[in-house]
Amino acid sequence: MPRALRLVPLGIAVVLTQVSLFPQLRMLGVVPDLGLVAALAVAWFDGPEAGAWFGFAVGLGFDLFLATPVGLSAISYALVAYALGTIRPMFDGRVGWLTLGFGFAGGLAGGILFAIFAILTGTDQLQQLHTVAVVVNSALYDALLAPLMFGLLALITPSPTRFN
Amino acid sequence: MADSVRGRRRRYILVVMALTALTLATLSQRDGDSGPIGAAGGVAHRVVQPVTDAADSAFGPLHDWWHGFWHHGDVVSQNRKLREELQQALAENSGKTDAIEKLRELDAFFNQTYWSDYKSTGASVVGDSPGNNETTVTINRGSESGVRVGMAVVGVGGLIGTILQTWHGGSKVLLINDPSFGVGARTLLDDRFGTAATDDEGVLRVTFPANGQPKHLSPKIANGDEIVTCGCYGSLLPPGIPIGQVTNVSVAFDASSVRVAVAPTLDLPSLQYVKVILWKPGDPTQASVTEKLAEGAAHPTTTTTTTIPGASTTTSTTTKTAGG
Repeated sequence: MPRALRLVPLGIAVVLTQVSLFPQLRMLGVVPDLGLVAALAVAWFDGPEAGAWFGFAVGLGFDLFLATPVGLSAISYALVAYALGTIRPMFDGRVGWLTLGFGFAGGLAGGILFAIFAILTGTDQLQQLHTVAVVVNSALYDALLAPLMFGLLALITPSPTRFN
Repeated sequence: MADSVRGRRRRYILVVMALTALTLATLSQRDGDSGPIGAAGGVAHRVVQPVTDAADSAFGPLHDWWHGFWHHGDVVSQNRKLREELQQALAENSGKTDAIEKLRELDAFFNQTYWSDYKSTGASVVGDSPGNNETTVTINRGSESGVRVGMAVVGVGGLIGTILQTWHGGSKVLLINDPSFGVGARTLLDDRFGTAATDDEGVLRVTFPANGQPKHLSPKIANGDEIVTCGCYGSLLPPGIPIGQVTNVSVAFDASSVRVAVAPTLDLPSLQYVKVILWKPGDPTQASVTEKLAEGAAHPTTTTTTTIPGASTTTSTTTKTAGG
């Protein structure tokens, strides 16, 4: 099966897991951004374009279940995944424990971008200190899930293509 | 050269994505639940609902364990309290069964008080907020039961939120403690109108315009007063639905308004059953509600108020002259 096609069921599974399982598994009162973590993993293995497309699609699917305007998660995930894919050549290719850092930094960046876009589109309730706590806690949760997601991506797509 | 072309292509893709996201966000903001984006959301909820229900059943024990892990202290104290209550209940009513208790609880819920006459449909809470930036729950009644966006959702004690989105078989409820929630409100025993909304600190507050004469207003509002929906012109909610009880009264520094903190009736952890009030603007107000509100106006309260100079808090003592 072409690699891109393998990402379609992964994307669907990620959205389903995010909306049906993780609301029951809140940590410090927040849910993780599983779609963002998956997009980071795709960007790492397949490059910035693939990561951006995957993040956009998964974020859009997640947005359909949220009360905030549709498209905010999509563009946030896409930009963060693209950024990781772009800086990947700076690393020697082994990801290991770096996934924790990618998950945390990606979660922070994604949360901040989401809040900025939400405020710009008129979702005023995010303009409060509580939003900062939510973004940090969510990024911590993302960091914990990142090694699992990177490992899963490495398993289901065992021979990553060269993208640069 | 090839790198340059690839770089331009990547940037082009990001620009297309950004424009698409902006367009979608604008459309969803403008059209809400009635537009194509809202319809897509409804379809998505409908498709995923069976998966969510299955996950609820399958991962229920995992959820309980997880919740217990993160809220161990709460669980222990709740457990102790429940044991004490159980012992007390067993001693007092050894013949009662859980089923009878549950039946009575539900009976009380569905035949509550003066505002129970509004036409409604019962529903179960089947899901929590999927994201971090909203305070919502999902219920298992939707458009097939006559549920529409904006309708009031009530729990045992009164208003818990409004319908945010609805589809066949389910609805999303925006809870009263979400910062984006707002509703026209009044005190039950006085016809002063204000706006109830949850502030940044998570406290539900009602602001009553005072027009520079707070003393004319604040004496009529005191701790313990019941705040209800006003059903004012343009409001999507019917009048007379309890929102909560006043816990603090304060006057704005410029005397332009009186702000009261309200303890809402919402008890989120124990929220299992709700009712959706099937009332739309233009529908008649139930006679029992009209009578209750008129009763309050006919028997106003007399209150002694002490305002501390330079401070914003007033201390009130309320005496009901009759009825109420």
